[in-house]
Amino acid sequence: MGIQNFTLWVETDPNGRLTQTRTRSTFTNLQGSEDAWLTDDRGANFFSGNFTHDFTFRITGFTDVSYGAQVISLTKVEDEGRAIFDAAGDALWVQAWRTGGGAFTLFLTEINAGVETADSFVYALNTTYYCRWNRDETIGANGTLILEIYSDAAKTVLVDTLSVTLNAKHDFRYIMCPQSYNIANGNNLSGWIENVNLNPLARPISGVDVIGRMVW
Amino acid sequence: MTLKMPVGCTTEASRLSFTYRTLELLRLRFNQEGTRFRNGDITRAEFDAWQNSWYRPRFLAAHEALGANRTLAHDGKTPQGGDAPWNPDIDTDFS
Repeated sequence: MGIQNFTLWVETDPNGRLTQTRTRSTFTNLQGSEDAWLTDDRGANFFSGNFTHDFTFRITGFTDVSYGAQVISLTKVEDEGRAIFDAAGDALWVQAWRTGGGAFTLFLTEINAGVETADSFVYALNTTYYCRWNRDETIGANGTLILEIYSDAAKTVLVDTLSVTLNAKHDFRYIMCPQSYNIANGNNLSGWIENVNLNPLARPISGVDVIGRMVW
Repeated sequence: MTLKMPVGCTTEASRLSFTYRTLELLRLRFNQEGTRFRNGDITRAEFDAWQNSWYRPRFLAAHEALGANRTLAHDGKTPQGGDAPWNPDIDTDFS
């Protein structure tokens, strides 16, 4: 599967907040009051069992507090984050948030039937984070979701790790990078996510991956 | 592999404290090995092999212990007001 080509993903972007290159998905002035996402429909139950994904992200601006968006999200339906939460849906995501107190907080989150469980990290603006998240279903009754956060591309400097003990085993269909979180908050944030690799531990491949998508 | 708690860790709070300290020590040890790789003292293959054989089993065991010992650590400071194990706000959680 390799590094994802964002130009093949599908935008929902009525207000023109999203742009892509092959490897980078950029969101500019993405508001907390709109529906916007870039998604890839992998088919029902594609994300099942254990998985490991790599990604890199950077948040470059926030205009105010108490809102945010997901830099990466796995869902069963194609929608913005708050709608999934309100509909008692299911998701796993990494959410760049700014708290009411102003802290830039990254949440590793499970949404299970509309119930949220999360772990958090305080990130810095204009700082690039190199991440690996994986679900290991051998840890705990329903598995554990772990996010490793590094400060270098070679993943030799570990900044922090987050984990969530999962409350249920869910299989997911969609991957979104980013995904808005619509809570009728008109403030906005900007940033990007890049080099999303859905199988970083596999032997590097080139050319065409197993489902015909170009990789580099 | 499992994380062995000291005899004195009889409460969830003490087990949680021990687990978080273990995770921090594992992070520091990881970064020491990462420094050895960046300095050329070990190869990438050696660094990866060390991660797979020594670091990762301990890392996973520590996170399993973390999940098992933070059932009381809830503060609801997530965007949806949900369950998060101690999510201090360093801007506002001092008085």
